[in-house]
Amino acid sequence: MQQVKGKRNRLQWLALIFIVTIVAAIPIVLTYTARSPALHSGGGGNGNSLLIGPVPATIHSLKGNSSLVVVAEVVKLNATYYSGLSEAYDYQTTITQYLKGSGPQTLYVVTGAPDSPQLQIGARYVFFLLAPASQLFAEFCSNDQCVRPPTPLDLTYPATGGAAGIFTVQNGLVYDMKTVYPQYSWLEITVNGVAEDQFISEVQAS
Amino acid sequence: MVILSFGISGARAFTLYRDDTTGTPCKLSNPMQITYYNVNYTADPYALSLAAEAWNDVPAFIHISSTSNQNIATILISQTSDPFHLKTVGITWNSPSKTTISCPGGIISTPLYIQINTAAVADYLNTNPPSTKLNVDIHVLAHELGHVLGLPAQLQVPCAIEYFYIDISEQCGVDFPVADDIKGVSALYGWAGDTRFAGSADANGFSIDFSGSGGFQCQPCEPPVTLLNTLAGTNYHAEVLNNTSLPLSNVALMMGYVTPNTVYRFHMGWLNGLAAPATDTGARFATIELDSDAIRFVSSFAGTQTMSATGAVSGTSYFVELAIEVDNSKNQVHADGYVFQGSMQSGNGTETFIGHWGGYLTGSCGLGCTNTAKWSQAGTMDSAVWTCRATRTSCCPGDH
Repeated sequence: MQQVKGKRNRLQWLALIFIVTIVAAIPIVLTYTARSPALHSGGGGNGNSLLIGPVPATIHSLKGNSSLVVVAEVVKLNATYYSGLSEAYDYQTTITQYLKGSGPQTLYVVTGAPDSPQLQIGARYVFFLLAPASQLFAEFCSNDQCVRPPTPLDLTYPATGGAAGIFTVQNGLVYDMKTVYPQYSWLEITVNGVAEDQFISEVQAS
Repeated sequence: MVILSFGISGARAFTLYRDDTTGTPCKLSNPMQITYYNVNYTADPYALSLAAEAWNDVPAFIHISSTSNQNIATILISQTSDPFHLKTVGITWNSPSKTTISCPGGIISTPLYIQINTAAVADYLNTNPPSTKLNVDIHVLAHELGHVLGLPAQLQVPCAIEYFYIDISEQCGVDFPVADDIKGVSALYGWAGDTRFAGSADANGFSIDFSGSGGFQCQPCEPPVTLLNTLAGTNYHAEVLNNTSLPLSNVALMMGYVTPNTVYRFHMGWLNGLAAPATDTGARFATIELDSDAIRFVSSFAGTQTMSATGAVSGTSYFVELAIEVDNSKNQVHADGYVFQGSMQSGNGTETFIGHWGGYLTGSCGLGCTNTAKWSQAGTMDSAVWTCRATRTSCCPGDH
């Protein structure tokens, strides 16, 4: 009888250890999700574009290729226009924190297919911003083929690497775009349910 | 915690667009009458004509030509400069959303639109890519034309024109449709057979077999033309001669599918028309040597360049490709050679990239003059060899 009871206790302990291990592993599984190879995912979600790599593979390289990194709230869709390559969405954002660089409280972020998604009004994001439109247009728009956004060029930015430079914050947790939108499975960096404070600390430390 | 993860290659092969409803592979309804209209692509219209002709040289039942009538064009090609998308050099669509390709019932809707982002191309060229500007332009356009044909961008075979990232595939020197792309388009439209340049003659001991394993328009199947050496011997050479100039299209692709029974050597390419024997390096215009001791690109204008220090292995197959084009900015011929190892018959991506050489054939005849060339020898291996003509408007055996 005593032996049976001892065995039962050991089994209960093993079961407890097993459950604790599984529960403890949940955030790790959430965070360390391996990237499965995309079959033919393209920027447009249809494999119909050609991109220049490399896609930023680390937060360090993403930050290094960005002129600004900000935590921001999307206030409104300021304008939509055809940028030349696709329909562009020009959002007004309110900056709550600069993680790299400094600037005004209001910036405009332009997204659009094939490499970046539409944003949610009222949602919170961490944006890695490439360069102001004023700089980009000066470098690449010596001809008249560029379609300019309606917002001030020195305050209007695209995200670095398109969707690679956009992270959404939901209920205090940060997610990369491929976790939210499967068509961006070509992204290299996986951020899946990481606490916002932890993510910000990592960005600042990078 | 920020975690990096990288894609792991699984099955390695081309992919196809499919109809959302039925799952049917997407195809063009008239693949031998594909036309493009240049709306405003002024960045490099010369590269556009070369990219289209490069696809025409692929041994599949497709043909792309330009048209001056916008209303009947299969493809409308434009350029824009969009610095907000510096990572996107080109996009192809046919849907109202301008972002996707649709094919109700498996037939790709036309017209299709190709938009080239010159800002992204310029930004890429600023990074000193491993290729020439002309080849980069050809790459971008050929990649987008591949979408028109029904090939999506893929992330599984880096050394292919339809790979998702130009910088990765250019590390293999790929700027033209190569093995995986050719298998993809042939799976959709069928292999087209080919024999030789006009006026060519078979040397003794060689016969042309059009039957292949599956004949024309089979999928997947072995390429239908076999240049078979019927003589015994390990050091036998034969030539199929061409006494005309190189194609007036200013680009030519030659491809060989080699299935060696006994490896000694397989040479494929263009000779330079000199009287020297084909075994003499001085007689080579642009050739690839698939020998037992190494795989090389050989040209009297570029010397002997090692593509792979490992020689051809008996009992396996090789896909060999030569591309030459006249670079109009330099008035010189540029050549690229590619070698893949593995089967061209199956669709499961069994081929492996072996080597590439690319460079200018300095001193060769350039734009505005003609090179006298011969189709080089192919000896002691069973092989299928495809060459091109400058134009092709019908699909007949041997007319490609």
